[in-house]
Amino acid sequence: MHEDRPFREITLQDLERLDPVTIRTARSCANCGRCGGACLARIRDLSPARVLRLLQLGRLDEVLTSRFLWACIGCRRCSRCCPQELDVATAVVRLRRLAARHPRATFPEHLLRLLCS
Amino acid sequence: MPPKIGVYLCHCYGEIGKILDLEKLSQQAGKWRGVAASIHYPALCSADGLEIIAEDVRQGRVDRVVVGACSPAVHRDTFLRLARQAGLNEHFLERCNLREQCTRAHRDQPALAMAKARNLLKMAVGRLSPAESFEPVSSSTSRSVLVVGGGIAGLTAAENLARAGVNVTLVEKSPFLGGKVARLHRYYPRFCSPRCGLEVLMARLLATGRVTVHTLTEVTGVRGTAGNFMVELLKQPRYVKDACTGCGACLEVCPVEVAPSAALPPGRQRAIEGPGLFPYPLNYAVNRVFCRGKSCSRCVEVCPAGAIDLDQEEDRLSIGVDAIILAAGWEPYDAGRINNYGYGRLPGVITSMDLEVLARPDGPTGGQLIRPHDKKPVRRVAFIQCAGSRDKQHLAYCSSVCCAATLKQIDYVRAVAPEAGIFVFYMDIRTPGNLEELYRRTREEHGAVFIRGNPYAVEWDPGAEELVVTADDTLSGSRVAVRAELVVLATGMVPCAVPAFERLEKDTTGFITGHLPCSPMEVRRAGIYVAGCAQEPMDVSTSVKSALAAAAECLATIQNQSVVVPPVVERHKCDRCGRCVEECPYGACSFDTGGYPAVNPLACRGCGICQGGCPLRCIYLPGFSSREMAGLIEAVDTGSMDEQPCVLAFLCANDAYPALDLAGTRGTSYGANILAVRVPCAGAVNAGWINDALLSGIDGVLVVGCRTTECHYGRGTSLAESRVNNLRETLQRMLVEPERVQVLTAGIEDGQSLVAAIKRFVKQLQELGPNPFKE
Ligand SMILES: Cc1cc2nc3c(=O)[nH]c(=O)nc-3n(C[C@H](O)[C@H](O)[C@H](O)COP(=O)(O)OP(=O)(O)OC[C@H]3O[C@@H](n4cnc5c(N)ncnc54)[C@H](O)[C@@H]3O)c2cc1C
Ligand code: SF4
Ligand code: SF4
Ligand code: SF4
Ligand code: SF4
Repeated sequence: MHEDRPFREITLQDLERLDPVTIRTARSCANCGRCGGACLARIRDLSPARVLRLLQLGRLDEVLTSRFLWACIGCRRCSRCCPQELDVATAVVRLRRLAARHPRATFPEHLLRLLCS
Repeated sequence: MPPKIGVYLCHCYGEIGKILDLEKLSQQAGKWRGVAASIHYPALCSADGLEIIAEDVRQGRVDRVVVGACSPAVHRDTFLRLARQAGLNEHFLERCNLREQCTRAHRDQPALAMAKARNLLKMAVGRLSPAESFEPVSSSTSRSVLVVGGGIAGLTAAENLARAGVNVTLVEKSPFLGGKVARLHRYYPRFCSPRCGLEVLMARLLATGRVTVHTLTEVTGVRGTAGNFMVELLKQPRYVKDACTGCGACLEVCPVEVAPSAALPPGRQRAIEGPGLFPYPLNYAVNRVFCRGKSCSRCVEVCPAGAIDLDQEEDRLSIGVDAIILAAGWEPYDAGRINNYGYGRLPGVITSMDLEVLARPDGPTGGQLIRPHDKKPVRRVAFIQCAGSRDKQHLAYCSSVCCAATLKQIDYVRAVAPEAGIFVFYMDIRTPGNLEELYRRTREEHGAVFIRGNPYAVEWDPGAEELVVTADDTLSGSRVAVRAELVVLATGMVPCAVPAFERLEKDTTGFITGHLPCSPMEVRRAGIYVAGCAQEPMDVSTSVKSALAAAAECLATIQNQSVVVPPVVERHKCDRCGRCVEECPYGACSFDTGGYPAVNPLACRGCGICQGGCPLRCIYLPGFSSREMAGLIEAVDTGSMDEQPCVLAFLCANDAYPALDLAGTRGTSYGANILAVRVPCAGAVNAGWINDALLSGIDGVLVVGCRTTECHYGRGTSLAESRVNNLRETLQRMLVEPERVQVLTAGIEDGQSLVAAIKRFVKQLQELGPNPFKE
């Protein structure tokens, strides 16, 4: 492999930081995209479906630094509609725990302000 | 003795009786020549209605029957049973369509419907008067079948036929039975050892005592037709006699190592080979491609049973069989041709069939997951789906089993390497039915990563001594790379060549098929059936099902339960031109010892293409002799149509006739001047009939067949077209406008468009004016 090629190598080491339930959710996802369509979050740099897809490819960093993670309103529409009966919403919430500790965390300013006021 | 025809008219509980004056019709019919009785009745298909007809026949009041009622396409069995029970030859019962093509189609024009009904009835009576009786033919046969290919499909077909009492000759090209299945490690959906399924099958097959197996044998020639095939076989020498005990001493001394494939190193395989895990036959075989010959002879010296004989020669034999089942199976597409995946060039790139070999305890690595050439442990495996499949430069089709095969192989990998990374590059995962469970398990339990994209390339990283697979993951929209020690190409299936059958019709993918979906197991040559992957790519359970289906169809033919009555040849008229022999799509018609055409009832499908082409009209199906057709044509009253041109329409019974029935049933009206005659195929229409019809004053003739690609008998419609074209020249010479004949095509659902085409034809006839021969 040449350095200059814009191919991203798939390594799954990062995923070891995840809890087993989230890993299992990501693995089991069939990439149908239904949850992405159902989601009510207003910030869409990712969607529940795209979160799981990135996890499948081992790209945890991108998930943890996304603004979407904090935009989830907990409506659980994703979990209710998943044809594989995966609890996507819980996975999203659990990912926040890791995200909050990420050096490039995108913990949203308005929430910060809210908490600090 | 003049015929005594009974004309029975049915009210169909008012459907017919409300539109037609059946009392008047039956009085008129009673006066026609040959008619001995004429009645009408509320419902002829009711028990009492049928009894009236049966009683007349039994009492000898009538000896031929015209039933003026519904379409001959309905209640077929009812009236056939009536004929049988009353002791009436079934060719002496003529159906006349007064419902679908008369009262339903012309309910708004009762007067014209009456004229049409009269015409149709007269035609039926005219045709029936000179009719002859036919007895169904039955020929006793020895009942033997050749099965080509000893894979799971061939073995299944052979076993079932043998259990039904048929003598089977099974011909296998390779030294051992079992085909590809015997080479698999395990097989989905149950992950059992293929050996177990094959053993059970083999035991049952041997128990019948009716199967003769020839290994290392190929078919070199086939002649004849269903019920009467002569097959030439060429048997290669095995060089190992039955005395072989399978001890394997020869393997220890043979100096020639043989690699299982281009990507695998030699394991235990030598120029002399044993049967592997499925030992049929048990004795070893020398592969003469690799063997060094008598100058070596080490195996001969060491064999304790003295079984090896390097002087054996090839053997030719010929056998006679009634039918043939082709089950020659498949071989993997040549992965070396997919350039950017590096098969045969890059170490560690193997095919899915290679992985089956590697996974086996008797394989070159003893079943361990190590890279075959350098024994490097395999930490990551990448599978590439559709390797060369669904690709117009390689195989344009999907081989249907490779997805499930890969999912199964992920199980193999997990069983020996719980930590290995598993990656699958795919376009679509096709796992119908229960196989979805396999897909679920590989994701959830085995943690395989699925990358949606067909890889652009597989490359070798010399530093890391690893393979790198690159692709665009279309789900995440990013380019990805996977490093792996082993890359498995899921290559597709191509049909095995069977040179003696090269001329059989194939579908666009190169597999041999019958008429899909009407008669998928029988190929376009009667008496030859196809089973398993020879027909199309399929998995084991589907192969078994297809073998059972082929055996069932084959049995029906050779047991002579044939449903058609083949054509007769009037020898005194025949000048032996051979047209029928040439044109029969099933090879059913051939010259007998006297040089006259004779039809093999087992091979004939009753298409009537022979009668359509016969210049002297001396070969014909029951009901289509020149006397009967003349009777029918002369009966038409060409002047009764209220100024409308009178049209005789020969409609193919498969699609066109039911299409016109359907149009009538839906109330689509068309002129009452269309008089339909049901023929088995457009190719069964003899140009002489068209000629006679036009000379007798009928204004126009239509021949309607299936669309050319859909003809149930292959070329019927195209033959009709070329025959009509030839006739047009003759007509011109007789000063009849050639536009008075037309060939149309129609699918079974095309009632509306058929009616539209008929209307255009009628309009054209109106512009031409009446037929010059009209009285
Ligand atoms: C990688 C892979 C894995 C698979 N795994 C599974 C699985 O797990 N489960 C499953 O259900 N299916 C599986 N399949 C499919 C399975 O292999 C086929 O369904 C099966 O082999 C079909 O059997 P067959 O008898 O039609 O053909 P074959 O197995 O190909 O047998 C045909 C026989 O005919 C012989 N022959 C060929 N040409 C001639 C000739 N001219 N004259 C005489 N004999 C001839 C051949 O030597 C062979 O013995 C797999 C396929 C692949 C590619
Ligand atoms: S729970 Fe969160 S991620 Fe799931 S649909 Fe609702 S907003 Fe979207
Ligand atoms: S709905 Fe379920 S299966 Fe579909 S993409 Fe979302 S998590 Fe995956
Ligand atoms: S004679 Fe042929 S099969 Fe026998 S040992 Fe020599 S090379 Fe091998
Ligand atoms: S009816 Fe058809 S199949 Fe039968 S002999 Fe004639 S052409 Fe051949």
